[in-house]
Amino acid sequence: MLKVTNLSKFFGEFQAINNLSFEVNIGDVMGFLGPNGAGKTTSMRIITGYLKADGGSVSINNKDIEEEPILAKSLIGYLPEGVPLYLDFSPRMYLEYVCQVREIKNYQSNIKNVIKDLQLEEVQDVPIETLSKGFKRRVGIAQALIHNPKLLILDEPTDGLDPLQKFEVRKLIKNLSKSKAIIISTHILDEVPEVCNKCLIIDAGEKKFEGTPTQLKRRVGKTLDEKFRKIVS
Amino acid sequence: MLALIKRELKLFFITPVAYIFTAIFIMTSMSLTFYFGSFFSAGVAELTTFFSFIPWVFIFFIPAVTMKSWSEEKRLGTIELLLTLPVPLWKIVISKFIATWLFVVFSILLTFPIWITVNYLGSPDNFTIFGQYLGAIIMAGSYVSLGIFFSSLTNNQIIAFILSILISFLFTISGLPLMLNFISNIFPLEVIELISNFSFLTHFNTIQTGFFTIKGLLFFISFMALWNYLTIIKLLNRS
Repeated sequence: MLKVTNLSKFFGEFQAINNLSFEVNIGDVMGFLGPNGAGKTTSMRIITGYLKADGGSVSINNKDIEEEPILAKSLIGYLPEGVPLYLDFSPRMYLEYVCQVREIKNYQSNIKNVIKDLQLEEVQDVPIETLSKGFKRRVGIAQALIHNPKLLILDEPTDGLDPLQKFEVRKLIKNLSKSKAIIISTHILDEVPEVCNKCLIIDAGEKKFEGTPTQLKRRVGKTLDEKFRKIVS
Repeated sequence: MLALIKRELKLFFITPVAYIFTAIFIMTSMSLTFYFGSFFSAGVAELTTFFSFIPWVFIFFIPAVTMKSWSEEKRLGTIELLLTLPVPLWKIVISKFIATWLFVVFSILLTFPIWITVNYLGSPDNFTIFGQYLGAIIMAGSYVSLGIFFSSLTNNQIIAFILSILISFLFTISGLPLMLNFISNIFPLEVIELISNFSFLTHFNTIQTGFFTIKGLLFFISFMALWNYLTIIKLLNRS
């Protein structure tokens, strides 16, 4: 589904991504881990076509993101870091706009479904500005899901949610994983064995570990936190 | 593309800011005409004084409208959502331009009471006034395209605002004696001719007389095309 090959990216002299390769297939939920500044967000921005890579390639369903950007982008659902949203809009207005731009036919049912899945019923007509952090994040996830994408990329989807909401979002991700390839970046390590069947650790733009959460657990020490510290230090 | 234009327009009208801008625009252009243009005491049924003030109001009004165009998207991070949609970049840029222009056109059209007033008081040449309105609308598009480009350079609205005013001002006055005398000591005649040809006022004045010259029209259209092109180039080279 998603194939990232020898990706590299420079910001001036600074190398943000160094020769990064991995694959994610339908049914996979890949946990994307790494310390702050490791290059997680930059990688995600390149995969979604927001930034251009300096080397390597990204292809989604064999569509290269730079050669066929429109086709490739139509397969992606993306929640960027920090959940940017148009604050004056209401969730419903915003979702309607996304549907119209994505040229989804009969989109009212799509909207109804995501609003139900993410429990946005009570706030659907309130300006996004007035919503709590948790609701904002759910609106962000809703706009990423609305067109039923094959590849879902979520940058810290559970950040700022309360334990109950975290549980709900994880459940949702698990349900979605049957028909999609999913990448979630997170710094909450406990989340990884719970929702992911694959994990990738990067540091300073380089791949440090790729495997299943159980392999990660087996490789070193006891807790996931310890392993994480060991791998990136 | 229609959806993008609709969203931009909604973003304008969803907050009171748009209505305040429009009100200020109408009040400023009217009061300049009535007080400084001696609209009534001139005793002539025409809108030439009104339209002669219009470029000067545009210099401040349009950068205020365009300043948030891209810089707000950058500041909020929504630019990332916008540019990862399966839509070509040029469509996004042009949609923003058209929506902002439409908003300015809406403000210009709301000055219609002054048109009714001259018709009530005398019998003006309505064909000329129609041409003047059309000229103002086309010129407004040029200021909009320029303002949007400067908004794409920065995520700070104030910087975008000030830069747009400055550059709009230079393009407006470049044909006036004030400017031409100043540069005539530095540049040869050909360069001065070239610079004066880039003046909004020169082209707007010919349009204002009611005669649409192809030259004036082409000037404004290519001006808009150029600044929109620069905006697309700027956004293609984002990092």
